[in-house]
Amino acid sequence: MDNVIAALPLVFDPFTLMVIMACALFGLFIGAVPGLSATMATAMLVPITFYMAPVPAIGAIVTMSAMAIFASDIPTALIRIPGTAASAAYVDDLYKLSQRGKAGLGLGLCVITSAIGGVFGTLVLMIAAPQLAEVSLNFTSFEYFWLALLGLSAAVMLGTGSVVKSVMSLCLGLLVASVGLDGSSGFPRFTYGQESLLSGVSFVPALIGFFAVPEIIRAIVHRDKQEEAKSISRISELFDGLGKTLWKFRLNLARGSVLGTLIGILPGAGSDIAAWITYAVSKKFSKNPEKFGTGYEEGLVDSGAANNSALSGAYVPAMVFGIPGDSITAIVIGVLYVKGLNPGPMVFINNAVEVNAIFMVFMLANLLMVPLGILAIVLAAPVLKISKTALAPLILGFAIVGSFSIDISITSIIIMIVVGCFAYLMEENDIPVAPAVLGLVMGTLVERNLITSLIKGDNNPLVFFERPIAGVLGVMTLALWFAPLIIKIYRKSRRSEVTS
Amino acid sequence: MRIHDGLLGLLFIVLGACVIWQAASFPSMPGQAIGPGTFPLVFGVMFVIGGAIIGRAGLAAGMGRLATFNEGWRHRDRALAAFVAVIGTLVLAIFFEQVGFLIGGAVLLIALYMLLGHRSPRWIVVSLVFVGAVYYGMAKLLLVPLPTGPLF
Repeated sequence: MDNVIAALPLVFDPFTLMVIMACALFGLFIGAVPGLSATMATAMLVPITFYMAPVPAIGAIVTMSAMAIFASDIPTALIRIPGTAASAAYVDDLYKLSQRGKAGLGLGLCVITSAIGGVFGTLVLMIAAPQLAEVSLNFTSFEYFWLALLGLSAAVMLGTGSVVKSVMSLCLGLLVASVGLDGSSGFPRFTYGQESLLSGVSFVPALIGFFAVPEIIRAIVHRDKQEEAKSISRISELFDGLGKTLWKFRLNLARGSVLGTLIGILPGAGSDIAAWITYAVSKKFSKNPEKFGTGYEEGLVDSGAANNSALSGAYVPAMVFGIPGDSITAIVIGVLYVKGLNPGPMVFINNAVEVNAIFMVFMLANLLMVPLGILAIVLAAPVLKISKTALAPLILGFAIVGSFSIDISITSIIIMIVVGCFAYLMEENDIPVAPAVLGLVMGTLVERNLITSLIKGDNNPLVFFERPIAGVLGVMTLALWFAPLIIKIYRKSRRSEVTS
Repeated sequence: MRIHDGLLGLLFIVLGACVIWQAASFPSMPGQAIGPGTFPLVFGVMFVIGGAIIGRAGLAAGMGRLATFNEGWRHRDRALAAFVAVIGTLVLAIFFEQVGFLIGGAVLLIALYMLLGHRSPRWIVVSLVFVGAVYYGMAKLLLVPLPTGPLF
C-alpha cells in the first residue's frame, strides 16, 4: 500500500499528465490514419522517451498504443479500412453497421468495450504480475531458457503466414542480435573489423527501420485511395441503443476480456491475434453465427474488448520475465532497460514504486479512452482525409532524427534505413517482421541462458528437464513444435484407413 | 519486389552456410566444447534447413520470373521517389555533419514532396516548418546535438 501511495505523485506529476495527454492525442491520430500502425508509432516515440523519467516514458508508450488500437476502429467503421491490424477481424460487421446508419452504435460499442477490456487486462496485470514475479524468483537459467524459447516458438507458430518463413525471420533477428562482442567469452562476432559494431547493432534504430521504413516505402509506391468518409455529427448517436446492446452481450464482453488478456499474456501473440481468435470463438458459440459479417454486434463486442485487454496482458511476461508479449512490449523492454528498470522479478522489489506508477498509468489511459475516444470519433472526418503519402516524408524526417538521437551517430541512421529496406523486402515476400524483432530482443537472453545451462549441466541435454518447472516448460515447447506434425500424420493415417 | 521462392530458399541456404562457416572459426571457451560459435551454429543450420524447404516448395510450384515488381513500382515517378527516400537518407547520413539537419532535412523533404506530386508552395512551407519544429524540439528542448552544418 505504501508503494501505491508513493507512486501517486509520480503519476499525477504535471509533466507526466501532459505527456500522457499529448501521447493520447498522438495515438488517436495514428490509429485514425489508415495504414499507420501502433507499433510504428511506438518505435518513433522511443527516441523522445529516452529523455524522460521512467514513468512518463513508459506512460507515453502505454497511452499512445492503447489509444491507437481503439482509434483504428474509426476508419474501419467510416471507410472500411482498418487503422491497424487489430481491427481487421471485425471490419465487415463494423462497416455494415455504418451502412445501415448505425455507425454511432458501432463506434460507441468499440470505445466502451475497448475501455472495459483495457481496464480488465490492467487489473490482471496488477494482480498477476507481482504473484508471478514471486514464483519466478526461484527460476534458474533452465527455466528462463525454456520460457524464452517458448515465447519465440509461440511467436512463430501463432503468427500469420508460413511457419517456415516465420522461422527464417526469427533466425534473421537472432543473427542481428549476435553481432558484436559475445556476452560470455568477449569474442567479436560478425563485426568484420568495424569498431562501431562491437557493441552490437543499435536496437532502437533497427526497430524504427523495421516498422517505419516499410510503411514509408509502401505509402510512396503503392499509394492509398482517398475514400469519402461518413461522419458522426452528434455525440448522442454513440449512445443510441448502446446500453441495451452491451447488456445483451455482457457475457461476450467478459469472455472477450478474459480471452484477450490470456492471449496477450502468451508470448508472441498481440492484439491482432487476440481479435481474430475471439471473433472466431464468438462465432463458434453464437446462437446466430450466420449473422456474423453482416453488421452484427456480437463479434464486435468480443473482439473489441479482446484487442485492448491483450495490450495490457502482453505486459505480464514483459515485466515479470523480460519476454515480450508482442512487438510493442518488445520495444518497451528496450526502454525499460535503458531506464534502469530491468524487467524481471527483482523489478517488483527494487523499483516497486515505479512499477505501481506504471500500473496506474495503464488504468488512467484506459479510463481516458472514453472521453478522448468520443472526441476523436466526432472529429474523425478531417483526419481520414489526410493522405498517408503526404505523411510519408514527415515520418522519414522524424525517423532520421530519432535514429540519430539514440547514439548521436550517423551509423544509427544507416542501420535504420538498411534494416528498413530489408524489412520491406521481407514483407513483400510474406516473411513477417515480428519474429525478427522478437529474435533481436530475446536473442541475447536465449543464448546467455543456453550457454550457462550447458556449462552447468556439463553439456548434458537431459539436465534441461530435471527441474520440475523447467521440465514442464520444456515439454510444452516441444509439444508446440511437434503437435502440428503429429496431428497431420494422425489425420493422414485416419484418412487412409477410411479410404481402404 | 517479390522474389521467387526457389531463389529465396537459395539465398537463405547461402546465408546459413556463411553463418556456419564463420561460427566454426570462432574459438571455444577454455576447457569447454561450446563457445561463441555454438548459438550462431544453431541458427545457421536452421537457415539451411528452412531455405531448403522454401526453395523446394518454390521449385515445386514451377519456375516463373526470379523477381517481379508489383504494380506500384511500374510508375516511374513513384519508384524514383522511393529511390530518393532511401538513397537520399543514406547520402544525408554520410554528409550529416557537413550539411546539417536543417538544410539536409529540408532539401530531402521538399524533393520528396515534389516527386510525390505535391508541388504547391504549401508543401515547401510544410517541409520547412516541420524541419524547424523538429530541430527546435530535439536540439533545444531535448538537447540532442543535431548538426547544423554551415548555418550556425
